[in-house]
Amino acid sequence: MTLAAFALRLLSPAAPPEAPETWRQFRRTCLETLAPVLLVAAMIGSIATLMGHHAFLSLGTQAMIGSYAGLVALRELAPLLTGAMIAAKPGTALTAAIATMRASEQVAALEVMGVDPFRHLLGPRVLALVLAAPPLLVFADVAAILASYVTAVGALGVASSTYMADLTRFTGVRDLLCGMLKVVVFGGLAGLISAYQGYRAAGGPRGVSLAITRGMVRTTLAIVVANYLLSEAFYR
Amino acid sequence: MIRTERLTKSFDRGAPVIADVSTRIERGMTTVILGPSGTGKSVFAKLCIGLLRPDSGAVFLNDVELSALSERELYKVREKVGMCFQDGALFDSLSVGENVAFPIRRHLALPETEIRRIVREKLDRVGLPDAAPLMPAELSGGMRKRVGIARAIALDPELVIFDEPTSGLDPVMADAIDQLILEMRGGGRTFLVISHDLESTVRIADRVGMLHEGRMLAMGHRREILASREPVIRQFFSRLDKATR
Repeated sequence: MTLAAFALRLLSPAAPPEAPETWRQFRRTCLETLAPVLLVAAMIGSIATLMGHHAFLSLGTQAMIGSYAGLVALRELAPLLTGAMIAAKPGTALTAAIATMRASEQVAALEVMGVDPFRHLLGPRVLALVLAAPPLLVFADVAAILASYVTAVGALGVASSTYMADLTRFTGVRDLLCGMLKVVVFGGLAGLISAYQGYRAAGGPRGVSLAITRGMVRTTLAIVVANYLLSEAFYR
Repeated sequence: MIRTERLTKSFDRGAPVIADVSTRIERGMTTVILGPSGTGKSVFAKLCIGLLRPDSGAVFLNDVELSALSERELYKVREKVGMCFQDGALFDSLSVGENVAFPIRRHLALPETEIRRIVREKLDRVGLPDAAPLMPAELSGGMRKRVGIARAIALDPELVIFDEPTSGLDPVMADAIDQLILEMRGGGRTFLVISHDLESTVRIADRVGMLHEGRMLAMGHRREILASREPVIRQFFSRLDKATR
């Protein structure tokens, strides 16, 4: 089955994902991914502020650190890192689970029992990744901006009022919405590619590990390329 | 019950795993498909219930041609089929009880007390009355197979397929599985057993089909096959002769 045929079957309105299983997977994805998303977003927000501060200092425009950190975090880093974390944690878990279920004939067992694995197994897990992406991004945005603020104000001596004024002057709702759209696309790509690699896994434990590696690499590449294309479209 | 006509299946454009197989699985009987490992027995079983689509030829289950059905229609047809997979194929995230209850919850709108009663009854039937709260990871190979059988018969299907039910089991457990299959016979239920266990075949089969290199060399009553002069069949059964001599 090709990726296109897999995606078409996944999106078929005749077999919508089962709601209870989707909700269970959504909660699980949010809870399991929140901590790494918060940590990575905070670290990157802080590092971006430190790096930016040095560059702005040489130009004498260090007061603009708020807008710089806000734009970089909301437009690029938070969506990209949230997408990467979704690919890395629930994405690889999805590939591993489906590949293992294929290898141990659990997927075939579902089919024998008259249960559509796309409706019961794959659809809910892929949809959960898409649905979990926006709330995770909200947390990532907050963590990145908060860490940037603490770094700028606490460590670099930028005045709090200056930071906040600059941040709110150059960033807006559009940045939040564009980031949201990006991360929904990233969640969809992570879900689709991870599920596909798991579904086509063959050959026992080696096939499972190969599927996880392939899923992770291809999802990361797809997210980076999609991020570039979306940034071009939104901010050119 | 099942009729195949010139059934052929290959993978990745390789040599056919199943080649031109035309045969019948009779209703109400236990048919064992015998053959060496890698000869296409499991593929044949999966073709019989539409888990795999043939490259050419046709499969009729209760006179319905499976290759003409959509996936959704196939799910409906398979509600009358139970299958016990080689390693049980139990859902790792569900307890034994939930595994057995799974097909019941999916297809029957029954109260929880009734579902629990059926689960208890099926687990009793396979000799595991206290296994319901256990997780699949806590089970031995033989127990996994028995839970797989309990799940396969949960909806009292017309057709039950056993894929290598005794492989990898010690003789005592293999006997217990054979006994279980014998006890479950009757009531018009059809069993299709995929096996390379000769002793088990002699014990449980009404009819035997011999699959060799993707071709059905013979299909008939157990006595006819045991008496066959076909060299490949004779060679296959010579191990049994030596063992029983």
